[in-house]
Amino acid sequence: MNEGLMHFLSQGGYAQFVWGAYGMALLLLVGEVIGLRRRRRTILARLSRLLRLGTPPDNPRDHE
Amino acid sequence: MSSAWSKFASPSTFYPLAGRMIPVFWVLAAGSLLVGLYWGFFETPDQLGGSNAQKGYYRIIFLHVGAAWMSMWLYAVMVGWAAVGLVFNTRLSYMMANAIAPTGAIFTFLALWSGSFWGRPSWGTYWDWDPRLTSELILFFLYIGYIALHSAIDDARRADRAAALLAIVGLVMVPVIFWSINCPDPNQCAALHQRSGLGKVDGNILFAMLTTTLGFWMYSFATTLMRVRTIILTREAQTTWAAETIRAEVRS
Amino acid sequence: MFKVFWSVLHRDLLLAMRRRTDVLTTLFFFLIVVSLFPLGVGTETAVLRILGPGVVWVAALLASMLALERLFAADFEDGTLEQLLLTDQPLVLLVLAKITAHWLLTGLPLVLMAPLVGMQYHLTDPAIGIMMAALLLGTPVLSLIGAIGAALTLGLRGGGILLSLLILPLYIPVLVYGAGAVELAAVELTATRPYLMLLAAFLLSSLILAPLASAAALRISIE
Repeated sequence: MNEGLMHFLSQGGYAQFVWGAYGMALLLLVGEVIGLRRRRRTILARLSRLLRLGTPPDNPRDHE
Repeated sequence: MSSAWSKFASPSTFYPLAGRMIPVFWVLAAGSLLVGLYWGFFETPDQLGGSNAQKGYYRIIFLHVGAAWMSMWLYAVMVGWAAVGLVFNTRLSYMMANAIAPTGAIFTFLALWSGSFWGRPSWGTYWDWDPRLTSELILFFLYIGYIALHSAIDDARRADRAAALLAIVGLVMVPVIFWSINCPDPNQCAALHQRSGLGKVDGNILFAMLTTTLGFWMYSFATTLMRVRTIILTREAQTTWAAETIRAEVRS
Repeated sequence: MFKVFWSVLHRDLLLAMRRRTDVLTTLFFFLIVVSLFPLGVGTETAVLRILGPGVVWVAALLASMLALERLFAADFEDGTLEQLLLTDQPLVLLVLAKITAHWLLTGLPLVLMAPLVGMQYHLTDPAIGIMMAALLLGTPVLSLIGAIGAALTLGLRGGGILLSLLILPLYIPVLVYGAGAVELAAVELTATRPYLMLLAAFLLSSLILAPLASAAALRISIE
């Protein structure tokens, strides 16, 4: 590993604070997007199943 | 309301429009975050200030300030949509308010989290009952209260309107709450002052800070629109346009 | 108009007197919470004097909040509330009467019990006096703001816990200045005036705004 990268990663000796803060941001923001995509897929699957069965989705609040 | 606005206020028109806008906001968000973080990490000095210097850990600022600004701004926008919903009785406004709340709560949490990671090296403690920290914590509680009330009510119409009223009450109380935290002793209120001004900040740092904030803002647009689309689909599932949309989306 | 106010107030007080245990439970809850703290943090006079104001106020917040759940619940269950909404009397006035009854049953007894609690925490006499004044001004605000939450969570599963989540953050200003006044009373009595003025300002503004918000919330919850 080269010098510059090590210097960058160590953040002047405060790596755990800097990367702890940015790591949590990455975790939450990426997690939110993944969660949203997954929720969209499950909702689409459920609604299309209901449509195929011909039953109107009764109470949309149950699936939110 | 003019006809153009009421047209976009209809979920069936807004749904495809939001779908087209989401990629644009993703590009903008990714672009500004990349530029902002690159600038923040490579174009700024490793150390700030003279005698009591802020070392490398001050780089948390690029995350912290943006998250804190977004947490407050999103609350205001959320209340704005909720108020529009209560006044004009438009379903889409409530859906927007609901879609904003989780993203706002996430940014509030991030502001608290990054603040404590900054506080540890610079103040020597993860948490202090500093007015700004406490205010941010209360803001977090307000977001959680809104989300909890909305999800506790089964009837969608009542949930929308009740949560909207709560959000407005919250906004009315926010200045009083923040003031009381800022100034617990009314005898010494004159001592209250702003501790930092943007004018004093170094240009490169300011640029990086504003760019990441812009990135967070664009990110909020993208996630809010994604969330509002799923809300629209679940709420409108019994209509024909939604049924067609669902069929088309599943096929692709 | 005042006749409506009085008749609702009278009715609520009468009903509460028929079910006295409900009222007493709240008061004993307050007393027990306040009495538990010295057992937890130790019984040294100096420590208790510092903790006293804050503990009393937090206990008052919790006691007032616990009783809030019942503010509209009984009338909601037997349909009285719906009838009240249908009358052509101003709903704001009816709500204000119910809040007043609630305060007379839960807030006022706390004010009267304050000297007892003050002695438990070795507060000085002037501090106890200020505490009573602060509670007298502050507890109505708690009832007024809390009524909004009670109306919003009407008839929900787990409404009590939810209510605390919604309302406790809004109680902060009253807590800060209420406890602050008592703390300062031990040091400099005259300096507590701004605190009491602020509490009075909160009382006046919440007296005007909170019944409006509660009435709107009731309409949302019931329609």
